[in-house]
Amino acid sequence: MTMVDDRPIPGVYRVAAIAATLAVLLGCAMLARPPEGLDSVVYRIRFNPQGPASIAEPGVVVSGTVPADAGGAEQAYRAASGVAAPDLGGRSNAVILAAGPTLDGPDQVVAAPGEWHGRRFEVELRHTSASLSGKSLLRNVPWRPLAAISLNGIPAGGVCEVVVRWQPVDSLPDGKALSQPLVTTASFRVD
Amino acid sequence: MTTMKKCAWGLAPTVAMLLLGAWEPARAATMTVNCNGNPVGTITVNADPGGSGGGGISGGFTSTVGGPPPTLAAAAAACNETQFNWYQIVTATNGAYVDRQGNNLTPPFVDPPLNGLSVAQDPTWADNMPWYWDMYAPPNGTPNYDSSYQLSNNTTSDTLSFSDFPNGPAGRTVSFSTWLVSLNADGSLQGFDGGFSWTWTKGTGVTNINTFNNAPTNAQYANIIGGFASSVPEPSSLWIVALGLGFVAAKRVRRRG
Repeated sequence: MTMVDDRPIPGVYRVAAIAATLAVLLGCAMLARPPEGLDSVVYRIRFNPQGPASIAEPGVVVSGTVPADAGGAEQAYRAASGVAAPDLGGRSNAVILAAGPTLDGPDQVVAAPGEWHGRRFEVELRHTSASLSGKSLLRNVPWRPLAAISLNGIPAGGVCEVVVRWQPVDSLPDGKALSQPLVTTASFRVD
Repeated sequence: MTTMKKCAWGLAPTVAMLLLGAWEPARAATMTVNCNGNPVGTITVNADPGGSGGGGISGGFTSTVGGPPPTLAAAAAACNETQFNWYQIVTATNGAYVDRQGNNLTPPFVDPPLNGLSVAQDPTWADNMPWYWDMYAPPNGTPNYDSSYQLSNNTTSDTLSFSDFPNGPAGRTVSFSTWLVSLNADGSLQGFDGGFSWTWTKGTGVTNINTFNNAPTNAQYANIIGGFASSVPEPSSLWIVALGLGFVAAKRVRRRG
């Protein structure tokens, strides 16, 4: 036997239901769209001292090439590393390639929303640190994070700066800072 | 006489360096691997200063047979088996380690332990075989799975790589012994092919690398691999396990509802 409650819904409940539906829809829309200036992926570049020369130090470059995979990101990073302040011409979009500190196997990285402050774009990448947390690791292959972050809305006409902060935290995404962040910067020119 | 004195003083730094060199703990080692009396390849390992724990060890086994160019498959065939991996144990440590099941580990014990260390120490997934590199991948979506530790991702046409950069709190020291192992197609042991011992210390890195040709003793192998699988589980077995876990989870959800 199926019971159907066909009593009319009181007005206050109807308003609450509509508000809740709207809140859910708004939340979904915000989740689906990446925060302004942030469309990022973090590649794990394996630490391999016996293999071909890999990225040896943390750093950041700005590139006009959007990498398709980890190999492409590493290649684009190397290519852009030798240029002091690249001229991106009339572009309004580019990619930040940021190499972070050497991390341990279980460490994870998340990118926080970046934003423009005048002609300076700042972004923070938070990561766990087994080393700073005093974790006991036996089988462990270290890696270096290489983050590719979309850089949109570049202000035209002049030199811009990118500041990347690698902040070790005790848990992701909003855990307590374990030490001062590693900060890397790069500049580039647009028409 | 004066000239001789000058020469003697001139030689002093060289002699001192030679003596210091002789006393310095070994940071690299190479050995030839033989199967059925014939050389099939070389194990080379080096202490590396990289990583965040002060350093680690890396290198591998490179085939010298087959082809040309030489291949791991040819070396495996010369050893009457299919594939290689490493078997590693912790022989001594001043630290406390716990396995994924919550058991305290006392040296000698297998590294990685069955299914890995406790989540609190290192949440990284490990398989249920006693070999260093994982022989199979877990079902999709398994948390803390890192494909860097898959055997296939540590093998090229002629080389099986080895890499380990332990880490831990200040003052931690761990001694290891690592063997090259010959495995059958199903991952079961065919034989030991020699190996090396080494010591890692937080901040200092790896020292005391020494090679050996002997197989592990019962205390180093037979007595400590009781809980491990002796061969790679069939894919169907993994599916049955995954289905079973799913069934239990569904039942719990229904019960809560």
